[in-house]
Amino acid sequence: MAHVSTRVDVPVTIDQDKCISGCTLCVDMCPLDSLSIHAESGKAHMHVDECWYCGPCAARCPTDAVTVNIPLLLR
Amino acid sequence: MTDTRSARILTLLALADEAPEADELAEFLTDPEPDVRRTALTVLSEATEDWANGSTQVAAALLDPDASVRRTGIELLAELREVLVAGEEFTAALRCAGQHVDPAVRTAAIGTLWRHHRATALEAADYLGDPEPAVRAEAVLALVSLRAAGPLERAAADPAAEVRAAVARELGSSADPHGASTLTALANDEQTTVAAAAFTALAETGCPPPAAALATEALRHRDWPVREAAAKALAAAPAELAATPLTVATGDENLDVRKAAVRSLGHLAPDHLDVTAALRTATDDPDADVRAYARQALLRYPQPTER
Repeated sequence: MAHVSTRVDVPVTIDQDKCISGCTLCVDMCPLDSLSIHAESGKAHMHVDECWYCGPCAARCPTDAVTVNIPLLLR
Repeated sequence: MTDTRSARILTLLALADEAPEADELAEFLTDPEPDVRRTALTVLSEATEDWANGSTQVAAALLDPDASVRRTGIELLAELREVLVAGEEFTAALRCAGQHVDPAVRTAAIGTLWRHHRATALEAADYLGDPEPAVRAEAVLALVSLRAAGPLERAAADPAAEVRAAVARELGSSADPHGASTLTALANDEQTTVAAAAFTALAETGCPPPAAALATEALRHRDWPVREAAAKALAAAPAELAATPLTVATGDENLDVRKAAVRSLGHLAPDHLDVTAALRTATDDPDADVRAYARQALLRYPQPTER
């Protein structure tokens, strides 16, 4: 049986097509500093797999690019 | 188009650091892109100190053609309640929004108007004819704040249970004894939630003899929330009417009903031997809360040796 060696899902996903290069609102909001701006694209991404599922990153995004994937048992 | 939009949003975010006046954000609030208008509202809420103009712009967002901008406007009207300045233009924008096709906008409009003391009883009563129950329920809050007893009686006969329940809850929160007659009518409601809310409210307004008779009867209701609420209502009824039915209710099969009955008996001070006997029995109840409230209630009654 094949095993997946790398986790591919993260709590916060960011639609790179919608994300605005140069905007840092979600990064500024995150209380855990889990989001950061990618050096090359200038867009946000999750660089630490840790999340409180608090939600301001998604609420403040001007283009609805941020999705917080809240686990079923926390909903 | 997207690049232009992104650039406008970045300009806005840069402007946010400079505590912009509301007028400086005006061009962004009328931007063709909804995302820009929504962001401008957020920047306005966080950065501006010019609430004389800013308040009107937030209210005007309720009339935006885009639903997400209207939703942001609704959220900000609630969030910024303490700082918004309810001037003429602000009020006019809200009155205009009260005719909007979106029910959430109409609810926010009447809600904001009465919370800023800008709604009249006549205006609030008009909203009772709205097709959406949520709007009518908000109008009930407005009418209670304005002590408009006549329209509230009309709302008590509303076809939607949530509106009738709102009438009951709000009359209870106002604790106005004049609401007791409306609550007595609602206590007969066939919907459990409405009847329970009415009996709970009667505990706050006072429970006159006709309502006490209904509450006594409701202690045998099939649904325990009604029995519990009836037991609460009897705490505000004349002791000679409430003591015996509450004593019986201390033996109810539902622990919440027993707890309510024991607590209500704690508020009465009848010279009734059955009451102290029932409370002593309740000190052996399987539920810890019932036992604790029974012990507290017994402390308020004279011991047999003191009689």
